Amino acid sequence: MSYGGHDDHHHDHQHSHWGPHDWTHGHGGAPHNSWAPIMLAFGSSIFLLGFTKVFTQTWDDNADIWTYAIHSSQIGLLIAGLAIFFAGLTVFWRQDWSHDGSHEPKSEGTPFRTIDIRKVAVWMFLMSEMMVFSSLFSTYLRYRTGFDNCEALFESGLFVEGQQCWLPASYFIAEGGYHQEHAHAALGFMPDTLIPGAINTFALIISSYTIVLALKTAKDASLSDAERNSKVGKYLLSTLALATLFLIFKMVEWFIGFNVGHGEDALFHSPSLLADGFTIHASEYTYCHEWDHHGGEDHAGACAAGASAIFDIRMSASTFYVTTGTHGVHVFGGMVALFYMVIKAFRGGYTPQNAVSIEYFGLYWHFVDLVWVLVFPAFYLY
Amino acid sequence: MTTIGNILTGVTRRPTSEYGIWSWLTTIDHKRIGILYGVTAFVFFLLGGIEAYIMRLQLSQSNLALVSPELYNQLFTMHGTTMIFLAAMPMIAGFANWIVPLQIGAQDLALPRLNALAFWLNPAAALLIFSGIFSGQGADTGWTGYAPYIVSHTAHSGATLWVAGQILLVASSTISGINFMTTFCTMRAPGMGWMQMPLFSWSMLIATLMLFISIPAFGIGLIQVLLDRTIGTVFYEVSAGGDPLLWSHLFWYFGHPEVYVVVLPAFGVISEVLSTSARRTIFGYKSMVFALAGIGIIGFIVYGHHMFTSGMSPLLRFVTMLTTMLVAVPTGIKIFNWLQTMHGGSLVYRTHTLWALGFLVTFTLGGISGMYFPAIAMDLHLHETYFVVAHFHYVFVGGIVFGLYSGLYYWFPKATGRMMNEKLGILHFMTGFISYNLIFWPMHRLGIQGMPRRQHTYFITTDEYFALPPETADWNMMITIAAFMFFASNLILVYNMIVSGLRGQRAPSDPWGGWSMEWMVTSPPPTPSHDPSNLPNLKFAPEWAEHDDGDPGFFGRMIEWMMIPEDDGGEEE
Repeated sequence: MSYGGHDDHHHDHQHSHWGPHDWTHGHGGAPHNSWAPIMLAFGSSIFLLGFTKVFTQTWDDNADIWTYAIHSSQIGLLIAGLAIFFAGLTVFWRQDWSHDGSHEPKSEGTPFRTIDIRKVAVWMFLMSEMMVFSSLFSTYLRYRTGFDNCEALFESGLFVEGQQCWLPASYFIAEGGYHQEHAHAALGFMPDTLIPGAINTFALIISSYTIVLALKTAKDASLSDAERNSKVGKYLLSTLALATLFLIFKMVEWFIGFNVGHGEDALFHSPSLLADGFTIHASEYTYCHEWDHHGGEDHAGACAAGASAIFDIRMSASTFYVTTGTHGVHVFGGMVALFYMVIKAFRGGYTPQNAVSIEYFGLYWHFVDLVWVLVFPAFYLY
Repeated sequence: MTTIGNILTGVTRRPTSEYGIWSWLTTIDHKRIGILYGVTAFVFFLLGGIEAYIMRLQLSQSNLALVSPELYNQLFTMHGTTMIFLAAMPMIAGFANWIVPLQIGAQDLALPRLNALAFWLNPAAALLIFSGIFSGQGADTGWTGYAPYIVSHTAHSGATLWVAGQILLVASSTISGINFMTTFCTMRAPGMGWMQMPLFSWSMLIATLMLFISIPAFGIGLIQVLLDRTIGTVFYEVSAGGDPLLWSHLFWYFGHPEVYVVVLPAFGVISEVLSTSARRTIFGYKSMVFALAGIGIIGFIVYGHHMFTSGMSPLLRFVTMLTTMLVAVPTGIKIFNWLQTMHGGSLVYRTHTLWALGFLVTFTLGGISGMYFPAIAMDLHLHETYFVVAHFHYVFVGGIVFGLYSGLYYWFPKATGRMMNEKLGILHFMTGFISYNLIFWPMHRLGIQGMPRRQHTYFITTDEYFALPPETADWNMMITIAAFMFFASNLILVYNMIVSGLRGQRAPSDPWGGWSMEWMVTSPPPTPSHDPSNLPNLKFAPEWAEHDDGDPGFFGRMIEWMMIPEDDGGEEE
């Protein structure tokens, strides 16, 4: 076997084969260097250090329980870590900026020949992301199938005090939590508590559409540069707005709750999950099977005699918050990327030649959307 | 606005210095990152050795109290973590960084800045992992971090930072995994089909694929533990119904492929070294590739053998017993192919050849002792004894470390442009090989006699259940002495690397007569490693691998199919 020079190379010498990682920028053909990697690495390290300092639990020997504390005095470390991380991210993107990606490096190898290298990388990334959510769903399946349902257990009369059981998140969301008997349902077909989740589902699906429109517009050579970038920017901005909406409604659903209208005449009314008692520390959740309501007193009725029990629902809450939270972190990561892309578009950074970089983000965004389509029925409805 | 822009440009401009410390901190060149990986890995390797040696001193006599039980727990935890995550993995990443782009005819890796990020996450994680031990509260959970101990209040507080550091290492492995997979898929030189790829590259491809499919499970487990230990979720809290076995499943789903992730690159090195030293092509190239792939697939369905004593489902135990035994088949194919390569060639005995031969002996022994574990009855007896320690040190040290030493002597001239001192190399091999076997061979015997691992000390008693015969103490003393010899023998390597690196004989571009593409470039290689405008072209490539028709191939078409169809009037090219 022998090797020889490959003469009929077909690379355009005007552009580096390397796209953003341009060899011609350094002296004597050396690649340019970057401060971004070391900043990103130590930024995340300091952030994690800060996280363990801010959120702590200590064991109470007398009571035999954990006590939890948030040390706000330590929050500086956490913020410093985040600041260094995002500064690193800025450096990373700033280096791409001057280049604006007018040339995408293409694959040489056999199966992916002529495909953009960075697109292959995104698919590889999604492969590992798939395993991330598979692991979370394994955890969910293990515990969901390993626990008895609290309500069924209580109805069968077999429930004993202190027994672990599963009161699913859907009990609080799809059935209306402690209002489950007469959950406030302004829309008739679903309780108000499900509204944030329902809106979020549509927000993500629509945002998947707007990102495709952004890609389609960026590829449209019939538009002038200014017109194209302004349209692409608007589509990206609407994607960003929908993603922001998603996270805001998530916060409303978890922590804030909502109340449209006043008192008895409220048009929409829903407590937050926190107010409903669905928290990761809810080892003694008071469950009421049957509300005893007299004389039109709808909401704050007392529990009927013998119809209440104390459940330990920490596991249900843990899986719910961590799985949907991990998805939320992915949405946030997408928002950070979108923020960069919006600015790039309004600066006139997109041309039909580099439009494919929008597709890289789109692949990730569709994936995040797809995960939600699985998370939503598994955690909100079932 | 312009001023702000100027400031931004000033802060974020591309550093271009080629010399000095700044150039090393900001480098994205795969060769420099390879050296950074190698140096940090070697530092941690020596550090892990010191940790091991303190443990050996403690065990040199029975009932010693040189270190406290608490410190001993931290030492074996940190020894395992250091050696696997901070020494072996970065060392392999270092080799892969250096050799893979050169070997497949690429200029660099596909994503150079992410490559640098994957490296810098290692020291960043090491800071977190080691910070606990200095406060006397280091992680004491064992490198497996078993639940529920790791979330219990009796575990040291340093375990939290240990978990945090491990999360960063998971991120590092994922990023470098994506990077290497992309490089393999897209940046092979024109004409190089899958079946023309050198075996070291193939082994890295399979190892990388295994790593980044398995490691997210570990990452999620770690995040669950971190949240359990900080904000109070209850994934492994037994009082809330948490299942410790879930952690074992998530951990070993990653943990067992992980041992193949670290051993496959050593296989690749041995394949390169033996075929070059035997002055012939490797025997059974295709079967070698399929054996690698076979290990890659079977490696995912064997992990249950780590949990035979845990009370998991008997059916699962039976299945993993069979699959574990099955791993011996592809591994055996590789061993026999190596033997046949030597048999059919004529061997030149260089230092790297000696290490490769040493690898064949010790790794085969390690593989044979490994075959005791899938037999459930035997496993129950040997579980948590020194037999296990002997087995995995035979495959980790005798397999991975020897394999990587072989690679170190083999590629050192390529990396530095200087030849290594052969006499010192042979001295290193002789002392290292003998002392290594003196350390770990007796451990098999100790294990069968029932000496438990992970325990601070042992007692010579006549107690019916914990009886250890008096000669146990003698064996342990001998192991400790041999451990000192092994540690010292590695200092010979350090000395050799420094002296040869500075004053060694100048190396030609192909000192050993190897014929893969890394030997085509000068020693040390230029930057970019292969000229992007004149990539090497593999002659005699099969028709379908020719690179002139622009056909994306089967997978490429699949990928294209998943992209937006080009019917919108836009132009992509």
